[in-house]
Amino acid sequence: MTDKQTELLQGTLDMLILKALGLGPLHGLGISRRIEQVTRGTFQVKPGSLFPALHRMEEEGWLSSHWGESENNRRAKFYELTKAGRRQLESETQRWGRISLAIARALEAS
Amino acid sequence: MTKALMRLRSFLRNLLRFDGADGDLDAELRAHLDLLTEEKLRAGLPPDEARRAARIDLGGVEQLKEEVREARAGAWLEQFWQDARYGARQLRRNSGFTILAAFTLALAIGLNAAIFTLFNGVLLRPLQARDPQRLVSLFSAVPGESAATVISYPEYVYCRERGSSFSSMAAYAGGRVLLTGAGGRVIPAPEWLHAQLVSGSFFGLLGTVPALGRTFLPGEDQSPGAHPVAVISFELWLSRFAGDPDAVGKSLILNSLPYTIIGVLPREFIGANPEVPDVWIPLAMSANVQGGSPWFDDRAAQWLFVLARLAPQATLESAQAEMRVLAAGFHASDAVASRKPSLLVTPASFLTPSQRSETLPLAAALFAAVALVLLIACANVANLQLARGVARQKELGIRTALGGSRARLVRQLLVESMLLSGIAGAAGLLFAWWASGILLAVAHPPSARALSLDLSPDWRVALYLAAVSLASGIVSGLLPALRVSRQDPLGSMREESGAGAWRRGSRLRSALVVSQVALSLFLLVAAGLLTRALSKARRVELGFNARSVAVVHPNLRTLGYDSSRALDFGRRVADRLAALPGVRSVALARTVPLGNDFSQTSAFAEGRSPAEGQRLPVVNFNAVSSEFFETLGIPLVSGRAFTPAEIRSGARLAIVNESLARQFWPGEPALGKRLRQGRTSPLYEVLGVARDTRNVYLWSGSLPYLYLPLADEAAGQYADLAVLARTSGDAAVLAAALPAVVRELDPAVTAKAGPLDDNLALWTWPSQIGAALSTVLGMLALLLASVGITSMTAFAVTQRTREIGIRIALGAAPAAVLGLLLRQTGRLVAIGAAIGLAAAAAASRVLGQFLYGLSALDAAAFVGTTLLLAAATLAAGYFPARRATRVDPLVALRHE
Repeated sequence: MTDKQTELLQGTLDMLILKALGLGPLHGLGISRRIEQVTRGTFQVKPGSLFPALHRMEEEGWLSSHWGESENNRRAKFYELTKAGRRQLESETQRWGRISLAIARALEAS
Repeated sequence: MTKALMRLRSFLRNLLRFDGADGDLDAELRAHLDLLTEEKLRAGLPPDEARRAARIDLGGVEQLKEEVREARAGAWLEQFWQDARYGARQLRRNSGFTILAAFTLALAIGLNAAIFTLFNGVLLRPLQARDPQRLVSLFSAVPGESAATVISYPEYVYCRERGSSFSSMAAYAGGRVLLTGAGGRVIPAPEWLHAQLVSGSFFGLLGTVPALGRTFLPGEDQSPGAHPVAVISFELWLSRFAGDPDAVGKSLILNSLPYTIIGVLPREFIGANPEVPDVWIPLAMSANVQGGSPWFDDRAAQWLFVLARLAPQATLESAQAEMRVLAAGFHASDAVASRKPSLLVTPASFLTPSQRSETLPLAAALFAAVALVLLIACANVANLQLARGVARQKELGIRTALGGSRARLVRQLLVESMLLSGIAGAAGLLFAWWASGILLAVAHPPSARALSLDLSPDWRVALYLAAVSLASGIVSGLLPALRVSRQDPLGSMREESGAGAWRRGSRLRSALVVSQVALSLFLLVAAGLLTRALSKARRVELGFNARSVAVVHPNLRTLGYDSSRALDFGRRVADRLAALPGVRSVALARTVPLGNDFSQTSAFAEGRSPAEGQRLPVVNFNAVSSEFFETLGIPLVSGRAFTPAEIRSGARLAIVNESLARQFWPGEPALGKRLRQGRTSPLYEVLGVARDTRNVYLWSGSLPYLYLPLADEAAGQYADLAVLARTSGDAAVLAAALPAVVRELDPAVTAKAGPLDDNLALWTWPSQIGAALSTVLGMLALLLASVGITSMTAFAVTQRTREIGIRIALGAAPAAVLGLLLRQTGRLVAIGAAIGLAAAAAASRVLGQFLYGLSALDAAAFVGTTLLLAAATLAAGYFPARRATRVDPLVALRHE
């Protein structure tokens, strides 16, 4: 299991969280499961990095939170993208596109 | 709830570690654990196993909470520090900009803080006393009327004996005493001292600890005249006893009576009055200070300031309620039914309620003026930042490209700007401390005592300074930050800056220049109006000839001279003076025109006595000798002056001025008519009508005025007497010789003498100070605006070098280029001047009361200052613009 895990690049966690929330509100566990699912298990987000990131991003004004009912009728805190968060997701996506393209080219060139 | 509010709340919550935030986080983590457990259960693990696995997945809860907390609170603070460090680096790198901007702001902030320091010292600071918040002042006031007066002794005693709101009460009154001996030695040149008569409780109430000896005992103010003891100021102790530690017990001869010194107050003592007295004596000694019979039984004599300390359970409101009841009880026996005075309880302060209401509008005007200067300075700094913003385009563009949001960029620029205003504020504090002392020394009336105010910065000054600095940081930084951050990163990365970059933000820059010009013209016009009014006041038609008249006031009352002896003494002085070479005419009078004292009496025409219970009309009057009109050059329109025989015989005669004649007998000749001075007064026959003069107020010439014969007993106690002498020479020279003449007649008498002209200064000093201050402010504003225009034009020239180069290369004459740049400045100045003039015209009505007879729209003031402004601003634009004409087209085109 551990051999498949990849260290998160600095700054990518934010982008993954924003992306995961792009489809709708989720609670903490939902976010980490969604990230695992879309990266096919490449990235596993531990609570130790998930919660500080969520709170920091809420502070930045990208996310808003509210208490609600989970799918199994349990109380859970849900996170949601704000307008600023949506804009942030767009610019992060673009930036990532540029960087990955540049790195890919650099690696091909050699 | 708005986002900003929400974030502020969460920031505060995190910063202060309120339980709310932690509690919420706890709940969130517990919910997460539950969800995890459930997931494991669904995967088929037995409950125990599932819970254990979930817990392992979650990890250390406390550590996690700490990390979250750090992420939350840290984000804000971290960024702030980042911005501050970055800003400091930027400011250090652009030291030229920083120094110019910080200096401009420091000057303006310091000026504001200096005015506030004075305001604080006079109005806001509590008295220097033990627990000053519990001190209150008592005044007598008719409900519904604004005037508040001091209190009579019987009323003070009545309240002290019956009231329960105060743990102690003290009364005091001011006075002058003549010092003729100290420590057993006679003082060859007697000195007038400022004395304060105080009740025995006074120093105890303030909690004053003497530097030497003791203060008064309660028993020392009980029986009139029984305890001639004195407490002296630190200054008097130094000047008369050379700081002798054995001064306590020595004697002081005050108004010819020996007092024993019982104590010396500390140097920093201010007490209840910023005009700190030289000597304090018990209230029971008042006869020696004020002359005549003591006022202890007189319910009508209002002469006492009253201070009181609230009892532990009392509040200002409860004390006010009790005093209202007590005042009603005290005045129950008064004959008048209406307009009964009540008692007013206010927090203790240097100013009486009426002084306070007079001071506040002046303070407001002053604050408004210095706020305008600050605004101009902010506009200047904003302009500088805009200019620098264009130069920083590349740096900001890179930051945007690297993912800095616009909000983040604005925040960073604002932090930088507030850093700048913070530096300016710190420098401003030093400037304020220095300037407020100078202002205090300069801005007090001639011949008045200097005020002792505590001008050391306290928390109020610090708070004010912080608020002003913060506000000016935002005002000067917000617009440029918003403007500069609005840009597209690609454009700024390109090697482009010329005219396009210049255009960006040029509308804002123009608006800033326009507002600077408008604000400084506004201040300049105010200064111009006050200055013009001042020079006009010097030439004001007084109705009498004040030039070449010397006045001498012999000190007779406190020496025990009664009315007839005083009058006799005055006549002998007059005879002596008349014999002096150059003296044309000598007169005696109870008061002096435009002097500090004036006397009032009630008066009405025969047969027009007001209805019972109605107020009697009050007029100002003077009791004069027969030569008075001749000496002062007041023409009599009809009738004649009193003869010496009429004065001696005590004939009931009066001379009225034209206004009084018109008011009392409209359309009829006043000569031979009769008037009364009260309901029961005898009738006075009008002997003559004198031309209106400015006797009482410099600015209002037509008030009713009454002249009575000097010997008339109805004129009251005229023991205080002035001798006026007209000379063919210099009044100041004559005045210098007068005290000696007086002393020849009675060595005990000292006298104050001076030219009558000096009284004018007393009246013009408020506008003198106003004119000086507003001139300084106006010039400062003009200087700031000029600096602003210079830097803007210089910047425009630098930015447009290429454009100018092309114009020159294409054959534009240097004069045309110069004209192009100057036209731009000229247009902005013209718009600003129009706005400034309109605002000044609107506001000049407020100044009306200080403009003696000057139209509020005085053309000279408006046109003169506008020309000055136009000249200064065009010069400010001309010099940098001239540089543009020397642009070498080749260099300019290669420039980029």
